Amino acid sequence: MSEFLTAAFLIPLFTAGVRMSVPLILGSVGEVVAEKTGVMNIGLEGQMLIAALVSFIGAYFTGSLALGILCGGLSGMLTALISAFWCVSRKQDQSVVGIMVNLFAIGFTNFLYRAIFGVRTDRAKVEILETLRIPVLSDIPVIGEIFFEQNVLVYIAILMAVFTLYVLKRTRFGLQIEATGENPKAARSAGVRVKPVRYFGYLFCGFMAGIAGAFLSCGIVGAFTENMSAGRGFICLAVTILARWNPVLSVLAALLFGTVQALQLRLQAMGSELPYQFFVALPYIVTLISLMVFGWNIHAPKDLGKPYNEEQR
Amino acid sequence: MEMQTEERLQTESSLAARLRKLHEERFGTKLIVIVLSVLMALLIGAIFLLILGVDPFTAYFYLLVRPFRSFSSIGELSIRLTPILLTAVGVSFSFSAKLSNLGGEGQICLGAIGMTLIGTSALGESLGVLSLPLGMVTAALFGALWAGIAGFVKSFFKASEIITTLMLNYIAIQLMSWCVYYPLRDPEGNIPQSAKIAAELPKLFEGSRMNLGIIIAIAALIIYAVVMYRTRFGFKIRVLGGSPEAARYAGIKRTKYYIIIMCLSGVFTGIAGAIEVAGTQTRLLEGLAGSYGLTGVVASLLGMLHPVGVALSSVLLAALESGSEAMQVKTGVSSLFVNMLEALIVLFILLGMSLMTGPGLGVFKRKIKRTEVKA
Amino acid sequence: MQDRTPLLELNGITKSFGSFVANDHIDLKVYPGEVHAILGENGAGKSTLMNIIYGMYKPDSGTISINGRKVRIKSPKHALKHKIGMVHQHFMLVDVLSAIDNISLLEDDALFAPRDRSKVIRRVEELKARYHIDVDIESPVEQLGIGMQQKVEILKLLYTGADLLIFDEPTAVLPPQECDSLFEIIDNLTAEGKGVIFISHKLDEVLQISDRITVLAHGRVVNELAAKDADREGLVRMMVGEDLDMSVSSHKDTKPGPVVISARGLCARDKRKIQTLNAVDIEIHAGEIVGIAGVDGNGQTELAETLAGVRHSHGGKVYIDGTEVSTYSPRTFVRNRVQYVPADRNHIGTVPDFPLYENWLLRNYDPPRKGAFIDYRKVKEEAAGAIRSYDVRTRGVDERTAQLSGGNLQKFIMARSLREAPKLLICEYPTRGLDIRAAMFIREKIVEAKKNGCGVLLLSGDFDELFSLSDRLIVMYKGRIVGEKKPEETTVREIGMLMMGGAADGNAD
Repeated sequence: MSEFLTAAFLIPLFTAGVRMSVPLILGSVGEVVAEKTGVMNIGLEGQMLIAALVSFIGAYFTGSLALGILCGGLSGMLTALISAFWCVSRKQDQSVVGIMVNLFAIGFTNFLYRAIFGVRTDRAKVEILETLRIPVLSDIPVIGEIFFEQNVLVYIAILMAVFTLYVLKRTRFGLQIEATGENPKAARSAGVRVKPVRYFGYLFCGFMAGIAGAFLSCGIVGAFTENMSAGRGFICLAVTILARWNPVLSVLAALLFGTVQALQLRLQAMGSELPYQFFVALPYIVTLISLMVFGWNIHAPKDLGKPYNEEQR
Repeated sequence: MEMQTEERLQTESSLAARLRKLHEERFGTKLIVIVLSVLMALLIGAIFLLILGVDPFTAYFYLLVRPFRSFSSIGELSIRLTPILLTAVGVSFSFSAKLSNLGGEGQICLGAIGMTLIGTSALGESLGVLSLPLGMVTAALFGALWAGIAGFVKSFFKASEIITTLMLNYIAIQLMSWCVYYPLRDPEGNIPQSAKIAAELPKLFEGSRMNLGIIIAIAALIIYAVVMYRTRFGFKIRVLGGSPEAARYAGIKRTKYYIIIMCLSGVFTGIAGAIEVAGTQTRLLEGLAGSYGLTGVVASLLGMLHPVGVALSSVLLAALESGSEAMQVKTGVSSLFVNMLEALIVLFILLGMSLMTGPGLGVFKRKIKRTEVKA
Repeated sequence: MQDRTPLLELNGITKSFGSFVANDHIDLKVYPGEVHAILGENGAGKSTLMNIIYGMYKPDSGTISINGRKVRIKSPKHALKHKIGMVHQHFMLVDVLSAIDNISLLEDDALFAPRDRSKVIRRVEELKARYHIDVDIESPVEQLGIGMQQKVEILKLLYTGADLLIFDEPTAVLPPQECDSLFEIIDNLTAEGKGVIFISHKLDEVLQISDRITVLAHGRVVNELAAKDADREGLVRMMVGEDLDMSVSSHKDTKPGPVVISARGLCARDKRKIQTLNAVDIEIHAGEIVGIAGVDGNGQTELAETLAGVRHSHGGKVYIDGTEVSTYSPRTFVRNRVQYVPADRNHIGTVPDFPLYENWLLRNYDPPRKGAFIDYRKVKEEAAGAIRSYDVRTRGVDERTAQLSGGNLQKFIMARSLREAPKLLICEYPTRGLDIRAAMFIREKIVEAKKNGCGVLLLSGDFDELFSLSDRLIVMYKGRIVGEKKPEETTVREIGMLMMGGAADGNAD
């Protein structure tokens, strides 16, 4: 066991953990905002998957990763627009629509990849994001290596979490978001425009999920593989609950999951005595157990998941 | 007005009442919405196919016509239909109580493991054909326990069943993978899969792969219909789905029933896994659950939880799934294409229904108003 | 006086929900500096009209003018811009937020700029001092009592600086004493030249406070008159359309029988797991009506639910006919013929999406059976019979319950509850929101049940109802019984004092 507790094992582990947690941070920060406005974006997984492909296509053809990532964000937003229209404007069940968006994404990404790259044996590839060393901070021993020698999206994810917390807690817009998720009728009577706020929730979450998807394809892999989001979108939903709808806490929860994922890959590679399936399942088992331990839904926005009908009597 | 009510109450025959109810529920309009939604989805699919340079008619022939064309293709359809229908029935129980059981896939895995466990054991060998019912019961039990976890966590920890059932899927897939790599691995083979089980489900006809499983699936659908609409237990499930507060008022204990309903749901999906092993694959192997879990959910939602609707939509989806492989071979379009079609059909139906019951899209509303003003 | 420009003028406002016409060509004028009361029964269309003025609903046709200029009010945001404010009947407060945050929602700052809390606090403190409103503005609103929440609503209204103020049934949730301070605030406001619309169905307070009265019935304006020309009888006639004998048939000479249900030291917690019922002792005899008075949220609902077996007690014991049943399921209570009519008819008393005949089965543990299955033919027959004898207006037993009006739904629930001659009937706000006729019908049924030897526990917010029906009146405050009086020996004022916790005598505990 002692071999695991060396710096040579732990530092790369945590560095990878931080990297693995980025899509979870981005997705769950988006989900926090969406759920605060009262909508549950189950389609997060699908948005992430579509964005992973679209950002890859963008980067492949423009040759610019930045443009690719932007395409990813926008495509996530566009996909979220489907959920928003169905659930906010047409007041349909949010979980059913979300499941369908995920199902659609699986078929659609397969189609789009083939339509653009055709059937070929060699995979199309792009360069991945470079590591960006933050001066001074990256010289701190251990911490510097883990947190400050990462690619740019890692820093953006953490900054977004902090910025989102600021908007939610300190601005009038944050107050409007909270009121909309808690009691849309009261919010409307105080002059808040409920539907646009909920649309914003979906679109913002879609954008964040899109960046998360872009991080997968352009940030760490450099290619698109089938179903590459692999349930990360669902873990984001769990992270949101664990973080009690607080974007900064969701960074911490996401780091936990990211590290478990990194650990799983490492242990698998080291040929541990335990079967590798156990490690693949580990993040999901951890999610399940943590939902049981922390999952009391007492902090959930009261109107979460309910369609809002303006003229309901 | 009062007289009319009186008369109606007294004289209306049950058939007339049923017809009137159909009319009031705008049955015809609903049917049109469903047909239009399917057509719309096929249209969009056709555009996608054209982009890929594939003739949509050829592709749709493989998806929609070929599965019904011959005796043996109907047999192929039936072995797809069996797990879809059983899963759809299972999740319909939970959806009726507003419990979103998305864990069909995991429960199928567990059912399959249960069947294999019995089928490859010494006990199974000695029992011969009798190992089948025993395997089914074990599978049902495994499925129920697996789904029951989500029910338990929902009741006692208030965790959303949507997320827990999804997590349980991922865990079950790994559990099954582990089973075929280690404890249940066929000692004589070198691919990761289990040995053949002791007995297979009997085929119904010569020259077709259709087996006893389809009968079991149809029986499950009938049980669903009878339980939901003729028994107090089904009534309670529907009360829970209709208004949880009313359920409390009626003395229906939510915590207890959530667990029972999830377990019941798992019984049927577990049996789906057992039949997939005993009827189709004859052994346990990775990826056996396929996409049946999610397809079952789609069938249940598409059928609007109504037994007849669930049956019809299951047939449609089974045709799509069984046709998709032929399509992939013949046209090169991935079988994942049908996922997109399924999603579009459900989305369009939701949209159509909301336009039918709701106030309509802003554009239409404005038009109507203008004509009113003119008149 | 009528040559001034009205602050608000409505012309031909019409609004329907589906086939139901809630407002039918309504005209209304409100002048600055006066209180204009809108009087009408429940369901007459008062709230709908106010929600139209406040932009919550869009009218189907008709025009709204403010200060003589035609405007279109598309949303509450527009209404606020036109200086219209409203205190809603069901408070429009986000209950996890504090009063300050609720008020901040009305601010008009840039969306992403940091909020200036201190500015809001300063203005709110100013308003509190000016109108003598004392309320905690930092705690989450959910921790405040109903009366306090209303004060927060009023502060919100004042904060907007509106010129036209709408009060939608503000006194429905207040004990009599607190009404006076509300009226004082309204007087101050009109003195400043603001126009007030005051909605109520209570005649006395309308006559006391208003300058002009508009009477609505069935969505139409029946009459508009100056308050000084109005009298009680005339107003009732306008509201109901005819003279109505409002008295309940006499019943108070009956002698109560043996105790049917009793509770000792009963405690219970509400949804949020807060203990709202504290060691209550109560006994109900056969053939008597026990009225429970109290401001909403003082443990009455929990008392009703624990006695009905729907909520588990958290201490203490319940006896039916002397046998302890505290830990038993609702089934035991129903088998012992304890029936319960809950306050929420639409979602607790019935399942809205079920047809009537299926709702007939709710809380019925022994439905007619054919073998193992429910005999739905018999169920339908039973339900149809009840619908006839209770005059429930519906198109048949297959109709979805959600389609029924409040009065018809309540009749249906009463029919279901009285099906098997209950031993104990618990009625929670049985006539709330009903029109007068339906309310009279329900009251008659309660009295009839009593005459048949049923014990009745009646929760109500309507003093007329409590005084005319009850044999004994019990007042609850903070989960305790703080007083018991005979209706003949007490006054509304005294009960009101007790409801606010002002137990002058040693009755508490």
